[in-house]
Amino acid sequence: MMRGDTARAKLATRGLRVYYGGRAALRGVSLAVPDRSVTALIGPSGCGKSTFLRALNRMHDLRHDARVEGRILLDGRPIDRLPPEVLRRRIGMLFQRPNPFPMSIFQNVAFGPALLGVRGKELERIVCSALQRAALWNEVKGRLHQHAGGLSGGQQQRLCLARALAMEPEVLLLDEPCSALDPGATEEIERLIAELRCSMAIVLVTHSLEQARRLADRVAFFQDGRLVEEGPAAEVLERPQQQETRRFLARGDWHRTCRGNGGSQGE
Amino acid sequence: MRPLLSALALVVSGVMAGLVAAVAVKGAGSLTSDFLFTLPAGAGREGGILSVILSTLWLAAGALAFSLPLGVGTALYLVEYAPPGRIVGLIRSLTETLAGVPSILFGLFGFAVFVVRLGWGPSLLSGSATLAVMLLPTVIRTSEEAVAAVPQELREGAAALGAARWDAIRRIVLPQAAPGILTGALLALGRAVGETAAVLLTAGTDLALPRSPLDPGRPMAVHLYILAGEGLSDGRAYATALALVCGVLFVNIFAHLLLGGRRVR
Ligand SMILES: Nc1ncnc2c1ncn2[C@@H]1O[C@H](COP(=O)(O)OP(=O)(O)OP(=O)(O)O)[C@@H](O)[C@H]1O
Ligand SMILES: [Mg+2]
Repeated sequence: MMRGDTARAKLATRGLRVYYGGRAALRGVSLAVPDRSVTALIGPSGCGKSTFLRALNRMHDLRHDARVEGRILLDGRPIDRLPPEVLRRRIGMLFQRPNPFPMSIFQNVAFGPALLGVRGKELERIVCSALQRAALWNEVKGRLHQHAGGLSGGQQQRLCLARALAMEPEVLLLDEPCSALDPGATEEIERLIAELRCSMAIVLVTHSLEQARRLADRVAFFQDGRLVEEGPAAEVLERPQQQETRRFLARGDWHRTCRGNGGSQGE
Repeated sequence: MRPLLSALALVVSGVMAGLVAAVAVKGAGSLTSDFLFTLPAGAGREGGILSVILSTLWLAAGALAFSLPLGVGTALYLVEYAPPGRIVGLIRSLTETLAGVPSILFGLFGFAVFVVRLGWGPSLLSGSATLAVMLLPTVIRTSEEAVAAVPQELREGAAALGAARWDAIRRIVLPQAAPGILTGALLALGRAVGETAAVLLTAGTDLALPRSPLDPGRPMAVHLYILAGEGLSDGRAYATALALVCGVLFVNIFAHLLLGGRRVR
């Protein structure tokens, strides 16, 4: 990768290594994520996609057995210069399974801003706008104070998206955000990702090549903790340079022809 | 096998019901509101058990006031902060050992440390502190379980929004773990109310109404022990026993209601 890429990138890693209790899960990954685009991470199960994603917002800090080496740059500046809390406000994350907090819909979305001391009308405005951006407002506006557990899986995932958007993140990390959803809900989330791409950098881990095709501007193919190939989506998906990528794509296509998530390799 | 086991269960329930019934039959006659709300006289031969009840309540409340923050704090440290390794292992095996120690040893320890060393004398304070040490393993274990049962995804979700670890604990983990922690606290409270050996040497046996934490007081179980042991008043001993059983029962039923109510969610 050229240095120029890294300098212009919203988010970039250089020689990123992650170890779980001494075992390497990521063995030196250098990848640049441009702003206002979707970068899809693909690769076989266990190749380190989630590990890579979670390094970007320092989620590995939460565990005692994970160790991260290498450089991660946000807007060209090393992320470890920021307190992790500040970094995570700028980098939102959506998990594989929707994980709404056991509280009301309103409180879920208000959680982040409330931590920063936002209250009253301003808080209501933020919650409303975040729910609108996550295309959930019309479905929940009459029951903002009901428990979030009462929402469907797809609604819960959009609630989690709204919760992240309420922090006005510059980067959004999505770890197989549709793998627990039905095709209808998947379509909805995909539509939102396509919209959000215009305003932020999105890193999307996906098991579905179809989804990568539909959404990705760039695609990065991981295998065995290494970045094998990376480039514009059309090139990597249609004319892969590496033998391993070609093999994976052939297998992957054959694996899941249905849209959305194949899920057969999920945890 | 099944008939045998149901018979066994029946026998066990029968024994327990019999125990309560025996206490109830012998104590019910003397257990009047007068008995509950007047001060004892003549070393317990006459009068009621008001000061004894109050001493018991103060001791139990004090024990919880000490052991709850310490226990929950320790549990939070163990689950949320401590790196796995020697310290955690040490604290765990320590609490497990502590849980198996007979309560008279806590009494002895409390006597040596709180009564003598710290100079608190035989008092409600010494008794509460001793009870607190005795209850710590229970409180730590139940709190630890409750805190560990909060799904990791919730902590990650909070962290991903920029919540500091303490924010996540305060706003997500503790509210989620609260019913479990409270249930543990109530179970501990039940033990504190019924405890004899740990407070025998530390809380004193004074029958006067305690006016400060440094005053001695006689808890119900000790009162019962003395009344029965010295043959002062059989009727009053059983009435005290019945009041004690009711108190413990009440606390336990409350604990289960609380737990049951929360499980439905
Ligand atoms: N907490 C952990 N402790 C130990 N090893 C882990 C942990 N998380 C992941 N690993 C290991 O690290 C490697 C990479 O895992 P990772 O979850 O990043 O893969 P992935 O590409 O996201 O897989 P999937 O597509 O199945 O989600 C795997 O071998 C996995 O077993
Ligand atoms: Mg994964």
